[in-house]
Amino acid sequence: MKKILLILLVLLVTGCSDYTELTDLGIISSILIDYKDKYYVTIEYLDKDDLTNTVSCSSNTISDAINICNNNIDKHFSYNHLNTVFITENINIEELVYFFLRDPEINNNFYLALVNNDNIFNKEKNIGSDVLSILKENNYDDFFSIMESIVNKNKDINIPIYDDGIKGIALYKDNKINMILNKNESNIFTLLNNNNSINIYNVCDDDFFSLNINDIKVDYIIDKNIKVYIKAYSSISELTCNVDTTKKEDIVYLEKIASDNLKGNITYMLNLLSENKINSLGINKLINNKYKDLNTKFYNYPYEVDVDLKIFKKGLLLK
Amino acid sequence: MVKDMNYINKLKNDYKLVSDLVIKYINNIYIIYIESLSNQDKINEYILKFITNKKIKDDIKELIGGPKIIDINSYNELKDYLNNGFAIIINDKQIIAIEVKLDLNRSINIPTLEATMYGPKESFVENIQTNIGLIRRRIKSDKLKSINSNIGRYSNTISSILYIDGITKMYLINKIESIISNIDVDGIKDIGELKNVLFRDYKNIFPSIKITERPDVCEEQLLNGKVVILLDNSPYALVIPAFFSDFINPISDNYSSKINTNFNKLLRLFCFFLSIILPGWYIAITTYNQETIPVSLLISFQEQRLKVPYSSYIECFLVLLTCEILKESDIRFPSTYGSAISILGALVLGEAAVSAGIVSPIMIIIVAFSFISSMIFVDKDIEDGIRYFRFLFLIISSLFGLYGVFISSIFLFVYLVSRNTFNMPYFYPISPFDLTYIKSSLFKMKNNKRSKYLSNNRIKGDL
Repeated sequence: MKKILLILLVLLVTGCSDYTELTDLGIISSILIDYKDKYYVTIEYLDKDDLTNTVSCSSNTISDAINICNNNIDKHFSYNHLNTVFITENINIEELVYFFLRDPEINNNFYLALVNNDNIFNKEKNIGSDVLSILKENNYDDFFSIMESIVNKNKDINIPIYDDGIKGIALYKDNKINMILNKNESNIFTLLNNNNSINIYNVCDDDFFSLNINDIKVDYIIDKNIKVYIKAYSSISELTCNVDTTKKEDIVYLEKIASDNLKGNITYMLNLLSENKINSLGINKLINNKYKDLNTKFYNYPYEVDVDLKIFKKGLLLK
Repeated sequence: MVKDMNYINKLKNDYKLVSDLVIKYINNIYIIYIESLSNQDKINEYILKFITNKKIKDDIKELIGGPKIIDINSYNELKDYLNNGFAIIINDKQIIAIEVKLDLNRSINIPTLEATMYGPKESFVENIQTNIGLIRRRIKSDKLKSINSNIGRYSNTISSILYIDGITKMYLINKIESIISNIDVDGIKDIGELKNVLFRDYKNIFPSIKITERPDVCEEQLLNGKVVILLDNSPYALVIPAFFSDFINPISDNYSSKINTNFNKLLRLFCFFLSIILPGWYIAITTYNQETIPVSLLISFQEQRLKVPYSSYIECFLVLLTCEILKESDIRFPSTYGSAISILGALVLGEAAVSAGIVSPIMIIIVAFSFISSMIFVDKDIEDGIRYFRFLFLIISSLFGLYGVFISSIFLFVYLVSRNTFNMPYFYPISPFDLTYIKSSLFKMKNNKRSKYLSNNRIKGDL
């Protein structure tokens, strides 16, 4: 009898610690954080009938602001399905990372996006989920990768810029925005950084052809110089050039044009990163591992780009 | 004559208020029988036809043409035969008993509880001799032994312990025999009562003795080295010992192809755990661990629960309780009323309860799924065991979430592996692991060996 009483007591005293009914749950989809003398937080949470609601509040700290927001609604916030965190350029990224890292209730699989204004939410749309889909589809770094970069200090972070679509990428240096890449530059950057598939536009004589790079592998070989070796497999998506794709020599001709074009783009990107001394591709770590010297930086090294592009799908051709 | 008259007087005294006792006196011969147990045609044919003849010989046995005629030597013997449907004939010199038994048995029917698509379509009846015959017809060997004994001070019910000499371990037979011989009850109505007397471990939630109505199951189990007990007036047999794996493997598995059967066996094992865990797991993930549910599903669950005023665990408890009541009433109700229960159940649970906002549709789906999974098992005892653990899982997970499900799962496994049945591990052959028995119980695989726990004669085909 004593045993049963003891078990009952243990169960009843220790149980139900974080019990929340589904109907009391405010499922957060995204959080927007801005800083102007204090933190301004807007939380987008899911409502019934596929609608979303937002609640805004401000305070001296992020956690306090979120708590105030939670007290303003009749639901208990759940961060388990957090999709995206939007930040403005005023936010200290390191502080933000440590905030999210400390809170055990928040999962670390969300994505970060930079916004210019705090008026991005729409009641009819789940912005957090939509942005997450775009960022995931284009292989951008998620919060976990960014956190890893900041904590390990092995590369400079980059955050995509959202303004009704992805408009570019903000490259950070020492956790501050150093430069902004436009849409085309962003494509090349994600190709190098995340092995993302892209579509490249090439000119042949007076016409053009477009290739869809389906599979790409980027290798950095550190020796006396940095050799960036890119092996890419692509398929023809558009073709107006006067070539016969059933002939091997014509395909080789197209491959050469596309390789040179890609090589030019990549060289341009590397020059850009080198000039601004931004280690967004994490090449410094490779050099440090090779030479065991933490002071050696990638922009002190000459580099060489080698592109091996193959067209393996020539498309359905009508003669 | 004095002795005879004594017997008659004694009988009249003992059977004073027994209205169906008939005592006739014809040509200086007493004919005594119990009308309700005797066949009147047989009495006419075997006895009255000859006794009315005036030329009666000294030895009445020569006159009477019954198939079974026995000399009676004592009064107790006389009463025994009288109670067993014999007619007693008493004259100056002899007392004999002639079998005029009324056939009270029903014919052999098809199995109702353990029905199979293929395989034999016969089940036990209430007559123990017919039941032994059904088994002996399958095992035509002198190695099939049957030890008979009577149970019950007043009922004197015949029980028979069947085993195969050379396969079954003798210690098991001796143990069962000693338990049966020590049974001291007024009467035993059915084999279910005998089961409770044989296995007095009240802490065991899952059954340790299998009840079957099929002779082919008995045959299979006897050949595996198990013991079968039959009881007169009971259309079931007990199979001892029964392991957990025996309850999730019906005999029909032996009559279909291996690959399909193995899938079904795995499905049944999965359903056993699913049926126990599902309601508790649902409560855990919806009230504690919402991160495990995809957001679209979570929103759907949320919307379904908006109208329901109770907490999830109370709602689940209510639906489970309603289902238990429905199940119980469905079993107890005569089959002619069965459809009324189904309609009530479907309407009350399926439509009205949801419309009234008492329960959410998803809760009905979860509980229905759990119930359907448990209905895969024929044995009611195993269903009751599942119900016990289902509620336990529900309570613990409503207190601790998925952590509670994990704790309860550990408890379930520890419970299953720590049980014994007749000094043999209950969760055998999984724990302790025995590939030989797994091949013939949990899976259907090529196997020519018997289990080491059940028989010393390991190689099959060596009777």
